[in-house]
Amino acid sequence: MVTVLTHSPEETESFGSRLAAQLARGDILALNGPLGAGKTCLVRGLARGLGHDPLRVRSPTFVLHHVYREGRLPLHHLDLYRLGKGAHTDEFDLDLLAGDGVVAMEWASLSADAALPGMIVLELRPLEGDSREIRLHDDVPDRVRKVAGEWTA
Amino acid sequence: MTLVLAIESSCDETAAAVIEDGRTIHSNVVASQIDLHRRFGGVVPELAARSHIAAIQTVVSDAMVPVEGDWKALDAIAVTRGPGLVGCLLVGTRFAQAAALASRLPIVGISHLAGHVYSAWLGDVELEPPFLALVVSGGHTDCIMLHEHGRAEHIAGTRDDAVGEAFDKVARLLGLPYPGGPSIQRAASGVSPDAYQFPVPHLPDSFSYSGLKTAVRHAVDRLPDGARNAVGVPEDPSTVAELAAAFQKAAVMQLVDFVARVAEERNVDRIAVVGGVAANLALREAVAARFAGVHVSIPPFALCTDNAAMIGAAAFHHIHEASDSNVGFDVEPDLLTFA
Repeated sequence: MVTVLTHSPEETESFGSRLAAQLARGDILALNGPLGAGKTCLVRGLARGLGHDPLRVRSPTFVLHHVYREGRLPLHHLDLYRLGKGAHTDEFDLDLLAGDGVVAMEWASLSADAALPGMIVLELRPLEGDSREIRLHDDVPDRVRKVAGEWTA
Repeated sequence: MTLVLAIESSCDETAAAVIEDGRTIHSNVVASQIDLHRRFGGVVPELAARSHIAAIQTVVSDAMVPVEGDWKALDAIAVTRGPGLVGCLLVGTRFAQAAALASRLPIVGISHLAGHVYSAWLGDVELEPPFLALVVSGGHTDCIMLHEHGRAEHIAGTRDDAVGEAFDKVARLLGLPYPGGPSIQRAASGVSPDAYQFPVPHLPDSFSYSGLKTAVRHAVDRLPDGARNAVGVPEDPSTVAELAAAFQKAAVMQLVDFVARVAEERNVDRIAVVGGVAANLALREAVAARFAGVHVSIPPFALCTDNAAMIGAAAFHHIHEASDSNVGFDVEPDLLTFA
């Protein structure tokens, strides 16, 4: 289990940006954690790292799906929050989206579907103040684990 | 005289309206899916789209009653092309486009955001541009200047969560029912908002509600052991009420402070507050208090929540863009602009 600590929203975003450098078409990231854990913040970093305008990244809770296209790889930003517990990810045609670029799914833990093979799972946990813990599941690819291992803000 | 059939299906409501010259409502029919979502404990996009399909024929037929179902009485069709849920938008646009082809009427796609801004103009015969509009709902937190009909400037949007989304999410943190707007207002009613101090960001060109949501979560987490139930919600109703009141005050203050600054900078004397959150009493009171010498327009509730009449009102000022050649335009789920 690899764990990353960040101490501000800027650091969480910065970690996302460094992670993005190691991502490729077909990657699906599952972002779990309670309200206010920093999931959207991390996606803002992913967007920046992929060459999108980070200021365009907002919560996709209401419309479920945002896509950012101007960078080196499209980023599909999904949010299962409003779908509630037992959500079906086949609503999104994940294969199609992953074939197009990188997928980042907030609240993936609400999904009723079995975790997809190869999904990169990150658990975010709020600590005191603005600090956050980001845990990477054991089966994340080495390129992702390496970013976490080398993380210093 | 211009008669427009307007159709809206971007999210939870299937709606159709017949509007004359942008301002006279002949019909305004809305079928809501809120009960469907409640039954499933969330939105199921496939079911939402199918529910639009099931409702749209009846909703449009009902809206067409004042013209006795006569498509020849119409001059154009208008439909919301975005933003919204892609499957839901597709139902409205494809229905409208098929109707336009069959009835040989020109059709125009309208931004949902423009519709909200025009709900104020529709609901207030004394309101004319230039005016400043604050669009606040589950999906929107936008400040827009309508300089003249058809010409708008997007001054600010949210950089993270929408204000209505913050009400919903904070309601969940406090164990209050969905939708969060009415339940937080009810819990906060008559309660001092000063037991907790929550942050009110003042950003130059955007709104932000993520930090406020996180601050409420921190406050809940800091309650003494035993003050929260098994799912982490405060047990004591008076604690819930104080948190709800403090949250509501901070949420409203950010909106009102922003609009006040822009109104002063630009010497604006007409302000509209629209969208579902415009129904919030604390927001209405704060707006009334802050903008005493300004013409403030808040449409009736039926025009604040999603409806097709507002799409028909906006369409009146975009009617020259209606076309019978570009019928098959695409939906734009991510549409951020007014036009």
